[in-house]
Amino acid sequence: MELTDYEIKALKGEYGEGMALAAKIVTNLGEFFDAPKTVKVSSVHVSGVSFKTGGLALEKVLETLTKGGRVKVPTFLNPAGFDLKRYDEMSISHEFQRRQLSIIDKFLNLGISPTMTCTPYLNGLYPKKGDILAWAESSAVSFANSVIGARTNRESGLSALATAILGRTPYYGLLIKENRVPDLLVEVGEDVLNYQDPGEKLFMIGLLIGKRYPSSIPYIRGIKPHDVDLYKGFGASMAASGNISLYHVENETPEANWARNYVDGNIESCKSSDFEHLHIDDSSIVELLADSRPDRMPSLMAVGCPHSSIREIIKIDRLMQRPVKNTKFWIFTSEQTRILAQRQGLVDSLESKGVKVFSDTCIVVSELDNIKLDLVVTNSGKAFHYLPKMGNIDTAFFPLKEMIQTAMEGEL
Amino acid sequence: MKGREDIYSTIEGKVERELNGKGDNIEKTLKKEYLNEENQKTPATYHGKGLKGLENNIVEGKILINSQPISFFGDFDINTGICINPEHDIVEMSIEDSILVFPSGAGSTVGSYSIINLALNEKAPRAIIVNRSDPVLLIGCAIASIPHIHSFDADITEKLHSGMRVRIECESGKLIIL
Repeated sequence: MELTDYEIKALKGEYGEGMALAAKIVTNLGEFFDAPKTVKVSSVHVSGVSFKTGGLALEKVLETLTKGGRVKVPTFLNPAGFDLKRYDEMSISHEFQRRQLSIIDKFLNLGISPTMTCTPYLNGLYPKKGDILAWAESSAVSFANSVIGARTNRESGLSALATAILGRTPYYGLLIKENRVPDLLVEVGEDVLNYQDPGEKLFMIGLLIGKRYPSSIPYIRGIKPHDVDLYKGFGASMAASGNISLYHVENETPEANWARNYVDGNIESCKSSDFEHLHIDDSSIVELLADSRPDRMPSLMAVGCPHSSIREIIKIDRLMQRPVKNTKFWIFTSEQTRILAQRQGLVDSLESKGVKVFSDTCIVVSELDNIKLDLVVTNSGKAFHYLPKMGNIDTAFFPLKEMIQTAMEGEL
Repeated sequence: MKGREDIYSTIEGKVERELNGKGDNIEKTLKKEYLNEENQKTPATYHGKGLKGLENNIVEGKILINSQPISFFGDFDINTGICINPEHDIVEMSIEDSILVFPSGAGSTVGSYSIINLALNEKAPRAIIVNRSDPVLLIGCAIASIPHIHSFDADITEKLHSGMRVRIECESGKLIIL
């Protein structure tokens, strides 16, 4: 790989130990992926914030990076292990609190914005089409690539962090236009989304595509998600059950028209027979939804994976007309969105009905070991995929409307 | 340069010729081959791609082979360096100070942190040698300063066996059998 003078100096330690470590990580990754060069990034999103997964190693790495290192571009943080204001309500041990806060302090010392959200694009980090990014957090990577048309590989917490300090990333993978060509044609039957709450069906379609073709770039025909929140949950589902970092939706997403040339066989080097085909009909999705329903009253209902937008919180408040009975109902969002909801009176309104609005954390990364959970119900495809794998939590899937109805009735 | 494989095949050829011929002097021929000065100067070397810019670029030690892919997140007790995955050849063995060899990495991306945590606890291997690497192994080893070579010219798990002494020259991607 060709190195710039800046990188050579960084590697030699001329800018301090932190920059040297960042350059060592980025250049070794570039060599590994046979990248010809590095390129500037316009923003970074860092994951792996929780003390639970990083431990002492994360503390030490952050300490080293701080020696002469500071982020070169706007850098946001993924959710942490608990709500920074409401840890007592989440039964978080004092030791865990102390270590987590110390880690966040170290991120702050590097100049990173303490957003603690998995939806940077809803909270001030909105790239433009074609921008080169280094984002970690699979659902945000999927959104940035697919819905915005920006370009990012699926970074790990550490590679994103090193890129933020150096300001440059190896040029390979999804940063290169030719590698964004679809290789799977998904046709969703006309009958599938003719349904009263199409959102949740869409998440099931996402889980199905990710599971069947985990490392594909799908071109999807036959869906028309009608708001950003649906894209958020749809992409997150595919990125969770598979490694899908980019998808195209016909007539909808920014690169879909370009991608269509390949699907239609207009590009000489690419025949439509090169594509894998997946047809999704209504019966397969209805069956998935039926198999995923809760069979008993859950001990927790969780919304906000990825983090809820203000629109989703407004919707929940409108639907939740009576207090929650016989279960807990938790919403996870960013602190920014929570403040907005608070100003709008939504937090008070929801909490008076027994709903809790947590920020800075989420159901997937929070330290819930001290809470006895028999069954968790969620409307998130991503949480439905991950929770059973983490700490063996029994998990069911319910569309939002049915979830809220069940919460108000206090029985299934 | 002659590799150990070439030496073996030379010896095998000689042995065959001897057997087809007089059928004696086999031992003498083998001994002669081993004592041949030129061969002694060329120990078997395997070439791969190594991490660049590590402080401790050259290390020596004993090979420890695991024939299954390894997930550093979950496969080891990071406080003791002992393998706790019962599916692995090296279960209940310590990887501390070994030259750990396995086919490829597996599992969660937080495995990088586990490699670093092992190093902080002074229980890490002296080097990590694989056929196929990935960003989890690369970044973990780069930060923990553990020599790491991958993408060899041969299936490295087939060519080595536990207990062999080797030298690792990480910068140039060389593994030399001593």
